[in-house]
This record gives sequence, structure tokens and C-alpha cells, in this order.
Amino acid sequence: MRNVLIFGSLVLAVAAAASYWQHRRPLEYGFENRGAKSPSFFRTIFPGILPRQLVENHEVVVERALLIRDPKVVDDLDFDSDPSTSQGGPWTFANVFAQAINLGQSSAASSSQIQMAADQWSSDLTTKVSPDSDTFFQGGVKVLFEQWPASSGHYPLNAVPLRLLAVVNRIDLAHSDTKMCPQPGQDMQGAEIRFVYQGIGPTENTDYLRLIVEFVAPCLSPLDLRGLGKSWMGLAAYAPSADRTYIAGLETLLGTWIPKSSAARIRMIVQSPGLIGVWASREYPFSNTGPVRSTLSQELKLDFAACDLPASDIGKFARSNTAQIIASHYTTPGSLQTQQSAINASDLFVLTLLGDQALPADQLDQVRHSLSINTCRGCHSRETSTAGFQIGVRKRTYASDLSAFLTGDPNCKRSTDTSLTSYCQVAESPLLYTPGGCSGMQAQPQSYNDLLRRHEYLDKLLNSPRAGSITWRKELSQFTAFQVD
Amino acid sequence: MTDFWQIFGRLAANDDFRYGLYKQFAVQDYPKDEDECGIDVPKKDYEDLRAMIVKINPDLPMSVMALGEILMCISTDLFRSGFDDLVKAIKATKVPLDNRSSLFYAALGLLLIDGPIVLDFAKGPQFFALHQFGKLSDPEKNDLVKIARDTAVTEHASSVCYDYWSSGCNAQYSAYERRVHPTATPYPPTPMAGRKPKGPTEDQLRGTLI
Repeated sequence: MRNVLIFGSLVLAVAAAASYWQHRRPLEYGFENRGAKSPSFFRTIFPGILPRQLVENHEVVVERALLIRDPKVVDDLDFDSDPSTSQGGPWTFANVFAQAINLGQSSAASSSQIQMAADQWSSDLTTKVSPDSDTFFQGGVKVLFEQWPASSGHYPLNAVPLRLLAVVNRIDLAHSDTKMCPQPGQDMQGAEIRFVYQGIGPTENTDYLRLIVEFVAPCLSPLDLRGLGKSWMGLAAYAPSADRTYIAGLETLLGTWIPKSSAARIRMIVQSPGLIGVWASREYPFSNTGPVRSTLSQELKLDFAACDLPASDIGKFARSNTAQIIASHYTTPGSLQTQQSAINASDLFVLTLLGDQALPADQLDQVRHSLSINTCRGCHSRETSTAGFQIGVRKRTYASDLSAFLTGDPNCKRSTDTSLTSYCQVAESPLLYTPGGCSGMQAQPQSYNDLLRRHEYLDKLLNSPRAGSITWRKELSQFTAFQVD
Repeated sequence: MTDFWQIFGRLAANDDFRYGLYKQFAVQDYPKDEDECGIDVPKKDYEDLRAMIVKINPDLPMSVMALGEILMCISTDLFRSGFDDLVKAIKATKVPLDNRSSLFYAALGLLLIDGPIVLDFAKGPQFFALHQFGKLSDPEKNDLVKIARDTAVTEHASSVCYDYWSSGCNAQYSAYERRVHPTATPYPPTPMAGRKPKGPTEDQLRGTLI
């Protein structure tokens, strides 16, 4: 009888354990500069699990509140920028451009002022700035102007050949920054709303231009940031059938928050459809007279295929700014700044630092990874296994596919599906190759599922108690795109 | 495709060869096949081109694919005028183009059609081995670096590629997202037994043979 009881207890225990494992939710990891962090010893034994509300609504939140690419939305007349079909809705590229110029102005810019800004910007596009990448940039610009002819000497904004790919919520860029936001209680800085476009070419297969308009939210209190997060999350509550209501809700959010933005910029990546495979990037922050070309933020004017020595500019910069680099909050030194950079979509290289950089071994790869992934080349190429773009080109009525960096596809292939449980793992060590050799550097593999990271950020923002407390900031910080502790 | 790269490079480097081809093969629109996904090049053109190539390099086995691509290129004025401008830009670099190795011509031809290769060759001679061009001599590597770094060359090359191949040259070395690999028949293929005959019937063929 005793043996039967013991056996029965064992069976019950095994069944309970099996049931637990079967129904447990995916594990929760922290992140460091977008890569999933290896769990600590403690977390290995007592792993956290993802909150139930996150698990149950991941796909809906991604599609409706984080990266909105549903063709019913992006092709909607209110957003449609395609000159052949657009009816001048409130969120066309032309109107988004005008909103960017109007930021911080007491009165709206006149149509002639906006046209002057467009002409100034279009003129600058043909300016050569870097022999290494001009061929690729100018080749694509040539196609742009073939599709965007001047009218009476002006380049009308409603004729820019652009198709909206997605409206992207980048609230995850917000972090506590008391230097940028010195006013007490208003320290949450950096949330963005982005409009991502592709260039429309002479054929559907001509892929030559991506353009993003980014709006940066002003310094916000934790409660205001949470309010912004609630507005985004509220969009996920609309039933799939309520498309028109959903679009109205999205437009209300955009109409509320975009005019409050503290800054806006255009970022563009262009390739010559002749010598395809190399893209060149530029940035144009908006001033009150229009977009003005600037240096590429956090881009590095150096060759990834070289072995960077301790005495090099990047070596010195890495040593004297280690903490800021690991936190992704640094200004590239002047000698490494550039206004245009080439991205080789099939690049073999990631940034490579010689092992002996007089940096602690545990920080060397963190510094390398942060410097590399924050460049255009790092984010759009081998460092993230992306080979081009995070958001794919699309035909009208179709939705863009997404990079594995975003979706976490376990095979690191582009996909339309998102995942809660898988990561695209990029094993970088074998890729740290330079023709001349570079000893001592050991890059760690990185695991990416950036939409999961962004969702976890939003979930922590909304559901952690004590918004604004030190605990809250710490909980939030591990899911920000930037690391703050 | 290395055969195509080499002949494309020789086309740029050798005026006699290039103008010989222009003379032999008239500017013409080859007839398209009924699906408009291919052109009907006469068998004699393939044979004549192969014979001309054998004269400049008897040891280069040429695929019919590469022969067809060259014939298609030189069949239009658009290509000829753009390519002649490209050749002028290459000559302006003062890089000697005669009596170089076959691998040199293949590397030259490739860098005229492939963006990532241009970018890597421009970095320096140590990067050629990455793309299996390590057997080039040092002077040849240095000369190709010079050509790859010349913006007039790359701009003309880009223009020729865009005008001629538009958004995708299938002779590239570098893979890229969304590259469309051309197929001549529906993919995946159906077994012969289940395939609906598209051309003449067996009876018609038999009649022809008789």
C-alpha cells in the first residue's frame, strides 16, 4: 500500500511538472543594445517569464501599436503619398514634411516657404559629399529625379514618388536623461514616431530609395510618457474589423503628439540601381527653413574591414568614453564623423577592434558591439544579419516583410510573421575577419528579436507600479534601445 | 559566369576586339520568344562570337549563357554608346590594359557590374583574396584598385548597368536580398508525363522529320 502511495505521488508530481512546463510562458530576458542578454546565474536558476498580457497580445500589439504596416492603413487615402493615387490626405509625405517645418514655430509656414524648403533639399541631394559613396547615392538620386520632375523650376512635394511602408512607434528610444532634460521631473527623452517610405521607381523591381521622417518627442515626465504609451497601446484594442475607427484613432494620436515634437529629421538610404548592392546614407535634420544635411549621428568614418589599433582615433575614443559607448550615448568625435556612408548589403565585416585596447575584457566586446550596431552599416548589414533593410519594399495592397532582427526569425530570414519565443542569432566571432589579421578580439554571438524588446518596453512602461521611481527606471532601462545602467 | 566577366573585361580593354564585334554583329532587335522572357539569338551568332573569342583567348571555354549575354549587350546603340564612354573613363586612369592575365580581365569585367565588389576592390589589394581573386599579381591588384577608386569609372559603369540591366544584373558576384533568379520554364517543374505540350505535337514533329 505504501509503495502504491509513493508511486501515485510520483506520477502526480511528474504530471504536475509536465503541465507546468507545457503551460509556462516564454522566458523573459533583458537586452543590451538590442541584443538579448545572457541570463545571469541567478536568472538561469530562477528565470523570469513574460507577462501573460504580453504573450497573449504580442502579434496584435506589434501590428497595431508598434509597427503599423497593414495595407488598409498605409494605403489609406489619409496616408497615401503615391503621386498616381494620392488625394492629398493629412498624412501624405508632403503634409508630414510641412508639419516638420512647422515644429516650434508660432505660425504655420506658407506654401511658398515650404516649397522653398523642398527646393533647397532637392538641390542638396545632387551635391556630392564623399567620393567613396557618391556613385551609389547619385545613381539613386538620378532615378528619383526621373520620377520627380520639376514643375516651373520647382520640385512639388506632392509629387515625390514615395510609398508609405509603415508608421513606426519608437517609444522604446525614451530613457531618463537629465542632461538633455534638466527640468526636474521631465527627464524622459527620445521617444520617436517614424514614417518609413520606399521610393517608387520606373518598375516595381527598381529598389533605389528608403526615406524615414522621424519626429522626436520633447522631454516628458514619466507619467506623460506613460500617457503616450497608453495611447499607442489603446490602438491595439480596436477589433480587426474596425479598420476605419482604428485609422481615426491612429490619426488622433499622430495629430496630438507630432505637433508637440521637439525635433524632426529625414534619413535616407539610396542605391544606384546600376551598381546594385551598395547603399549610401544621409541625414537631414529639419530647421525652420527646411531639412539641412548634417553628419550621420553615430556613424563612423572608418573601414570595418581594418583592425583598429589602440592608438587609432577609434581606439582612443573607445578608452576614454567606455561607459557612454556601452550606454549608446556618445557623440562621434570629429575625426570620425561623416555626412555620407556606404552600406554594403552583403558585407562580410563588422567593426573590429584589436584585442589589446587597454579595456577590461568584459567591456571590450560591449564597446565594439555598441559602436558597430549604432552605425548605419552595422544596423543594416552583417552586425544584425540584415543584408539591407529592416522593413521591406512592397507592392501596393501588400504589407512589407520584416528583417529577422525585428521578428526574431530563428533562421535569420526575412518574414512577415513575428515571434515571441525565437531569436535571430548572429555568431560574430567568425566574422571578425580582416585581411591583415586582428588578434585578441572575441565577439560574442548576439540574439535579436527587436519587436519583442520594444513590446517588453511598452509593457514595462504601462504595467510596472510606481511610474517614475528609481525601480521603474531600472526596470524600463533594460528594454530601451539604449542602455542606461 | 566568370567567362562572361572575362569577356566583358576584354570588351573594355581591347578596342580591336570591341570594334570587331560591333562590326560583325549589327545593331538589331533580336526577336523575343512568345513569352517575352527571352530573345531568339540565331545559332550562327553564337558560333561566330565563340570563334572571335577563341582568337583572343583559345583557352576560355564559353557558356552559351555568357555568349548570349554579350550578344544581347552589343545589339543596341544604347549599350555601345554608354560602354564606349565607360572605356574612355577607364583609359583616363592610365592603367595599362594590354597583355594582362585572364583573371585581371575577369576582375575588371566584374567590377564594372557589381557594387559591393567595387567597394571592396577600392579598399585595397589585400581584399581581392576575399572574393577568390587572390591569384592576381600585385601590380594587377594595384591597377584594379586604381580603377575601382575612380569615380568617373564607377559613375559610367553605374549608368551603363542602369540603362541596360535596370534593376538587376544576374551576372553579379554579390548576392542581395530579393534577387530574382531567372527561370526559363515554370518553377517548380512538372514531370514530363504531366506536362501539357506547348510546342508542336509529336505527330507534327514526326511529320517534320519525315
